[in-house]
Parts: sequence; C-alpha cells; structure tokens
Amino acid sequence: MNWAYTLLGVSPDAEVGDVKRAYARLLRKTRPDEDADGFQQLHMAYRWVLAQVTARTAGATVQSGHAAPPASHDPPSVPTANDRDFAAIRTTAEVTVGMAASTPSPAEDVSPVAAVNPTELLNRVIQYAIANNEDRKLSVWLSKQPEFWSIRTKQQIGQLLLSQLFRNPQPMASACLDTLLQFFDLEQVLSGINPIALAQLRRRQLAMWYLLPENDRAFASRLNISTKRLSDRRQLASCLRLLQGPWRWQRVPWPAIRRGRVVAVGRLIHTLCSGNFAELPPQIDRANAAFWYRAALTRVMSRPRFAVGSVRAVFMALVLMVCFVGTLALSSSLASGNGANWAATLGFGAIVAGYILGLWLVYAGWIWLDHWQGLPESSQMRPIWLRRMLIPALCAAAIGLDYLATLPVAAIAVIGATLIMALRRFQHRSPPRPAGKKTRTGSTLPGVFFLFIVLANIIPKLAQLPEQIPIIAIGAMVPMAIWMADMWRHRFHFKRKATA
Amino acid sequence: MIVGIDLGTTHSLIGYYGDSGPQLFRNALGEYLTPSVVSVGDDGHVIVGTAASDRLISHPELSVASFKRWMGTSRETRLGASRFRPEELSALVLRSLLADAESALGEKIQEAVISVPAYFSDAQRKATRAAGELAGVRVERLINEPTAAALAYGLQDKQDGNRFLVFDLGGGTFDVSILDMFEGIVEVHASAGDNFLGGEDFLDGLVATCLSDLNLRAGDFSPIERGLLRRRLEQVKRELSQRTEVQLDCQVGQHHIDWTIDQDRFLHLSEPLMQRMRTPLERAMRDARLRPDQLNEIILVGGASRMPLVSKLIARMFGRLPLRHVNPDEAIARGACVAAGLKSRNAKLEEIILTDVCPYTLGIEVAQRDALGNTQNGLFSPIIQRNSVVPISRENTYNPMGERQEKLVLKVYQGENPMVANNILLGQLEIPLKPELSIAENQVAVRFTYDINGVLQVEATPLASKLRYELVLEQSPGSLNQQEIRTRLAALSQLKIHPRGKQENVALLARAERLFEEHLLSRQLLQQWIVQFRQSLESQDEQVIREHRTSFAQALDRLETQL
Repeated sequence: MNWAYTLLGVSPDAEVGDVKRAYARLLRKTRPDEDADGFQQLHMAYRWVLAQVTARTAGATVQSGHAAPPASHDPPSVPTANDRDFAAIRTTAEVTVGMAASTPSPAEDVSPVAAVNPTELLNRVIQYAIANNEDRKLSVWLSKQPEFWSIRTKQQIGQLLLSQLFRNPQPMASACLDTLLQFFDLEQVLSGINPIALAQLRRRQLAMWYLLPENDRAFASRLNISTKRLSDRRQLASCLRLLQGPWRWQRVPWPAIRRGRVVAVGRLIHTLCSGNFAELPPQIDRANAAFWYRAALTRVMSRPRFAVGSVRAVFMALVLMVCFVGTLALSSSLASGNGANWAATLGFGAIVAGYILGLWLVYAGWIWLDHWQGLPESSQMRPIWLRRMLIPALCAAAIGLDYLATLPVAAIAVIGATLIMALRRFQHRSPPRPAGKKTRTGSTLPGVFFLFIVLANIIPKLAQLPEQIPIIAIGAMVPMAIWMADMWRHRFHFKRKATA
Repeated sequence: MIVGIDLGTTHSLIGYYGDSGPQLFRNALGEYLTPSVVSVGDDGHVIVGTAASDRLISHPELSVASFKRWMGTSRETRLGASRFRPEELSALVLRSLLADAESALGEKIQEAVISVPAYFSDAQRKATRAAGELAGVRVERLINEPTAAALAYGLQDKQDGNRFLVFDLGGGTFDVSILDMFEGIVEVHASAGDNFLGGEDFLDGLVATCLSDLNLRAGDFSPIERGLLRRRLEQVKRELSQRTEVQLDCQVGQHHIDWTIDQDRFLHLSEPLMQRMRTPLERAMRDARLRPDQLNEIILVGGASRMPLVSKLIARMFGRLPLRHVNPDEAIARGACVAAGLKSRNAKLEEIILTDVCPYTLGIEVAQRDALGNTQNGLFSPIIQRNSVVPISRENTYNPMGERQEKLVLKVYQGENPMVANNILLGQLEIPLKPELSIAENQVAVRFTYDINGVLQVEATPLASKLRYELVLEQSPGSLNQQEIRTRLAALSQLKIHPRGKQENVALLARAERLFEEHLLSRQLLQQWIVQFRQSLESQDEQVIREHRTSFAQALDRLETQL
C-alpha cells in the first residue's frame, strides 16, 4: 500500500467522505501553525489520495504513466517533490471529469446556453480578431458574446485558440493578440505557455500583418520610412519585390549597385524577423532573405557580403578603368592617332582596376580577420590553435622582418596592424558593457586614430635613434601584452581542458 | 485577550470571541460601524469616525478617507500642519477602535487579528502589520476577508460538506474565495481579486455620468460642493439597490441638480466594472478546479454587494442566485473575532482548524536560451504557485547562465505575469559562485518557505559549496523598517485625541457643520446653535452639556427630516 494511504489511514477503495474525515482527524493532531513540515506531508498525501479517489469514482482509470506518486519520505524531512507530479495527476483527473476535454461528455451539467460548437466559435473569434485592427472593439465584442459567460466554454476556447494559432499563425496586430490573451486569462505565468514561443508567435503574426497591403502605412512608419516621398515608397516596394521571388544570381548585381538598397533590405528583414528566418511570413523566400540579410550585416565578412562587395568593387573598378582609359584616349587622340599607346593605356587602366580590387580584398580580409580573432573562446571554428596564436606569430614575423630581412618599414606596418587587431580582439571578447554606462573616453576608434597620428610623428624621430635600441622589439611588446591580458581573462577555458 | 478587527476601506469594526460567540463592540456614539475617516480638528485634535466623515464635507482639506487603497505605498497626506502615511492613518483608526474595546473590556489589549483583502500584496500586508504596531498592539496573524466571512457564516449555520464561494465587494477592494467546510475544517481552495475595484468606483462612474448629463464639470464646484454632491450621489446609489428609479433634486452651490437615474442605466454605465469582476471569479474557479454546479452556496459580503447588478452577474455566471442572509457589513468583523478566538485557543473552537492559501505566485527572475542561441531575459520562474496551501516550502534548481560566472543574483518577485517587469520585486540575494567549475557543477538550489503568517523566507544552496544563503523578507521597498516605526510611534503618541467622553460632542458639532454646508436656507439658524453649543461646552458643566446635547441633537434631527 502506498505511503499516502498509510499516512491517512484509509484503504485504496475508500470513499471521498472517508478520506476527508481521516484528514480532518489527523489535522487536529498536526496543526499547520505548530508542525509545518508534518502538515505539508499530510496535506500532500490528502490531495493525492483525494485525486485518486475522485478519478476512480468518476469512472475512469488513472493511467499508469501518470500515477507515480511522489516518493515517500521519512518525516519530518520536508517533501521535495515538485508540483509537476501533481500537475500530471491533476490534469488526468480533470480530463476524466471533463474540464479540459474537447467534447463535453453527457454526464456534465447543462450549461446555461445551448450546446456550443467549439471549433465554430473559435473560428468566429479568430476571424473577428483579424478583421478588426482595433483592440478596444475586439475586447468589447468578446465581452458581449453570450457563450463566454460559461466558465468552462471560455477556458476551452482559450486553450484551443492558442494551440490553433501556434499551428497556423494569422496576420494579427500585436495589440489584438494581447487583448485575446487577456480576455482568456492566458497571459499569466501559470497558463503553461512558453514565453519564448509566445513572443515568437507574436512576431510572426506581426510580420504577416505588416505585409498585408492595407497596412503598408503602419509598416512604413515602423521602418521609419516616410510614406509621402515617392522614392521611399518605391524603394520599399522594390525591396519587397526582391525578396518575394526565389534567389537567383542574376538578381544580385542590380540591387548591390544601387545606393543604400542592401542596407534597406537588411533593415526590412530585421524588422520582420530579427534574424530568425523561420519566423518569416510565407510570401518571403527564406533563402533569398538569408542571403540579403547576411549581405547587410557589417561586422562579419560572410559569403553573401563578399559576393555583393565584390560585385560593387568590380563595378567601380570597371567604371574607373573606363573613365581613365577614356580620358587618356581622348587626350592622346588629340596628340597622335598612334595605336601602340592603346596597349599602355589599357595596361594602366588594368592597374587602376587591379588597385581597386586589391583594396577591396584587403578590406574584406581585414574584416574577416578581425571577426575571426574576436570570436569568443567557446566558438569551435577551426583552427583553434592558429586563432589563439596569430598575434604572437605576427609579432614574431615583424621582428623577423626587421632583423632577418631588414625591412623596418614593413615591420612597423605589421606591428601597427597587429596592435589594432589585438585591441579589437580584446574589445570584442570583453563582456558587454551594461546599457547606460558611458565609456570614459568615447569609442576606441578615435583613440586608435590618435595613437596612429602620435606614432606617425614619433617614428621619424625614432628612426634617428641609434641602431642598438630594438624599436621593433619594444613595439612588438605592446600587442603581446594585450594578447596576454586577454588570454589571462580566459584562463579557465584552458584549465578545464587540462583536467578533462 | 485577542481582539478581531475589520479594517475596511469605508468602515471598521472591532470585536472579540466571547462566551456566546463573536461579540462586537460599540463605539462612543453607540454604533458598531466606525467610518474609516481621519480628520484634524481646528484645535489640532485628531478626529476619527462619524465626526470625521461629516468633516469630509465641511473641511475637505483637513480630512481623508479611503486610505486603505494607499497601504503599501509611501503616499503622504497632508492634514493641516502634519503629514501622515497610510499606515499612520490606519493606526489612528485602530487606536480609536481599541479605545472602544478597552473601555468595554476594562483591560489593555495586547494582540489583535486584523482582516485584510485576500489579494493584498506582501507590501500591503506588511503595512497593515506596521499600522497595528503603530497603534500599540501586536499583530501576528492577518486573516483574509473572504475567509473571515466564511467563518462567520459557516460556523453559525454549522453546515457540513459545504463548498462555497465568497464574493466580497467592499468599498475599495474586490475578493473572491472558494472554500470547503467539513468536519470543522475550513479549507480555502483558491483566492483571487482586484485591489482597485470597489463601491467607490461605481460611485465614481455615477458622479461622472451625472456631471456629463447636466453639462457640468468637476471644476465648476468647490471642494466642499464636490463632497456634498458625492455624498448625495452615494445616497442615490444606495437607494438604487432598493428602487428601480431614483430622482435627485437638490441645490449644490449655485447649481441646481435635477437628475433621474434608473437601474438599467446604472447597469449599463457600470458595464466595464462588471467585466472586471469576471476575471477574478473565473480565475478562482479555474484554480479550484470546480464547475459552477459543484458549489453549494454563493455568499455575498461587503456593503457594495447589495447592488442588484451583483446578483445579476452571479446569476449569469453561475446560474443561481446568491445567498443574502448574512449581514454584509458585520460578517467580516465577526469572522475576525472567530479568528482571534482560534488564535487564542479558545476552548469552544478546539475543533475548528483553518487552512488558507497563498494568493499570488512567488518566484525568481531567470533567463532562458532558445534553440537558436538567443537569450530571453527577464522571465519569471514560479517556485510557489498561487493558491497553494500555506505553510508551504518548495525548492527549484537553477543553472548559471554563462560559462565562468562569478555570482548569481536572485531577485524574488511576486505576481502572475510571465515577465518580471510587470511583477512586484520583494527582495534580492547574491550568491557567489566558483568560476572554475562548469555550469552543471555550479547549480544553485533555491527554496522558498512561506509560513502561516505570510512571511517569506528564501534559502539558496549552491551545489558546490553547500553553504546556505538566507534572505528573510521583512523589508519590502516602500515599507517602514523598525527604526522608522519607532520614530513614528513616538510622533503619533504626541497627537492629541479627544477622550471617549468628549467624542459625542465633537460628533454633534461636526454634524452641525456639515448641515451648515449642505443647506443654504437654514445657515443662520445653524450658526446660532453651533455658537451656543460651543459656549456650553466651555462651561465644562457635565449636566448642562448633556442636556444641551440632547436638545441640540433633536433640533438637528428635526431639521434633517424637514429638508
């Protein structure tokens, strides 16, 4: 026999009245104000036994999966079982008694209104919520519905509503969803709804709502685009058109070249889904959206961004080449119509184009390096040893350039780049500053520029110093120091590996 | 001797559990009900009760009512030269009640059981306890008002196997409780409510409708006239409970008010308030897991529950008519007396045991990470669910969010919203962690213990160190600490209060002054009488004063019936 039955002193086939009498009798001995622990045990046993007996007398058997009682304890230890066990038992009891069932069983009370078809009522509620944007109208309409005066119907519809919406999101304004949740008393912590899932549903529905043609004004104001200027509206329309078809490489060059288009598309996608592409409304193609979103993110040099940037660089290189060649050709044609100059002109043009492309590659490479170095320790991007040891390697390379290859200028350039990389690495891997706290000297970039100017002034003077002072080596100490400080901050990561 | 006190928004009562059951005490004017109004007299004396409620009309800037709504906040009211916190105002009312009780019992009272709305928050309960301390009594136990009403009703009828719902609509608060009574055990299953819904809100709606119908604004009236109008409309509201149509015909300042209202219109304009009453009712029924047909009785308590729209609401939601035979004004006070008897282990109440529930969910602030790695901060993780029977102790285990965290900050919240920003912060506790351990090794077990007196104790035990960190929430933001209570107690003891013998005179004068404000025609006559009565008071001759008082009271009665 179970400990609960033993504690109460009743047999498993007792009636509700017997259980209550036993509880009353024992309660007089273990009073709540005298023996808190004993009372809690007694009460838990009482509730469990009562649930069992009620379920049994209601005519259904409690399934074995749910029937596991809370583990027995020796008094006076305080029971540590969670209410989760009880919740499972209670739900089962409720289902048999008919509280949460989707079809009312005939043994129930007759509700004041004639039998209600839950699905039809539910659909009516959802349709009204979609059709009317104003939450006040919705709340007044809901409070007037006669079916919702029955507590059971209201609870039933509330649960069905949410499961229906989770399965099938509808375009609904945020305020209307809030009104629905408030009316059915679902916006409380014990309603069992996962708040993250609910927030996701809210965002999905809002995204779908924004894309409805009648809400373009609301959407535009959310994006801070004025609806009065034609060019802004056209840009919004063309952004949406871009996203609605599947991704094709032919559709990439034109928006890439248009000024501000990529940023606008990125912002639009961010407003709709904040980077979770699963939340996008069905009209927007996910692969397409993923491409343009990643192309618009400035901190990471992802493949889409590289592609879009390369398109731009190539375009700019071609334009410059054409201009350059054209100018030279025009000027030289006035002088002489010699064809041999064409080769030189085209060669120059190619150098210019190559220069532009080279700048772009350096920039792209720098962004990528910066991001790679700034990854947190927990990131698994390979090779990990290279990521950790890059800065010391570069410092060593600089020293090598100076001593072994005697290229002091190159060494200084490498040291400068390493210093900036070390600073940015340190900054990226620091915990985020709490919002509202201002830095003492402003952002790091002006500081770095200031440092650069100072160095540019100091270096010529340094060059006049006697040869024996190892300037490069001293210069290499600074990024090394920063790197070591950063490694010390993350020392616990290495310790764990040693013990694991 | 432990007394039971019903400290209501509009009225307060005091009593004890005597030989023949709950016994209420009369105040100096011979009434059971003392209005919860505090006023400062012209000579600096503090006046409490009917006299003060009359002075609400004649000296509105020196009087204050319905301060129960401000309990738990630090709102200060200025009355004359002094400022009072809500706890101090309640303490003044309590002192007056205790003086009445002490004069009846003949002994000093050490301890009291005070009733609070079931849905009062932690801060509000602490403020009530502080008020008791400021009044000079120990308050260890607070009883929920619907439970008190159930005690009064159930014990008097001695019905068994009874499951009922108590619908308590008072002056400022609305509470719903579902209880079970069997074998002398009173078990509360669920409590819910709204702390800002009461008779006063219905009155506000009536006032607003009256003004808008007559194309007047509140600014057209002086404060005294506003008070008069409100008093008149309160009478209209009461009469609407008995008659289908009421007409108001009076002169307020320069404006002549001629207005009719019927029950249907009142129902229509109170529709939003009625809708607000649905939510606690539904929530209580859901938490108790009951169907409307499983209830045996529905009991109405509280003065505002006399309105017929309440019966209509109940009939609509539960399909039955509520029970009315308990005196709605006194039920809670009688229940508080029974609770006082239970606390003092009165022999007649040996068989009765009361178990109550915690009306709000208690938990801590957590963050959660979803499948994509996004972190959601500010979530509320419940540890003690609402409507769990007290005393209760529950434990939950939590992991630190980040890899090498150095400490864990536990913020304890009370409320029902899934986001902590919309809940009430009760306190916080910092647990140091060991950053060299992994997340799984740095788990912290948090235990909440809520005892029968409503005091929450938080214990946190990190898995790694096995040290216990405790936080006993005696201090909520906005409440008084022990030091402040002592200083304010000293300040309150300095205040002058009329002795009981003089209170009748004070009440009579206040009544005369109110009538003076209300009626323009008889002002000269009233002025004369007031001056004469003051002169006879100065004579200090008890015989003369008593005779004059009776004749003065009769004259005022005649005047009021004429008008």
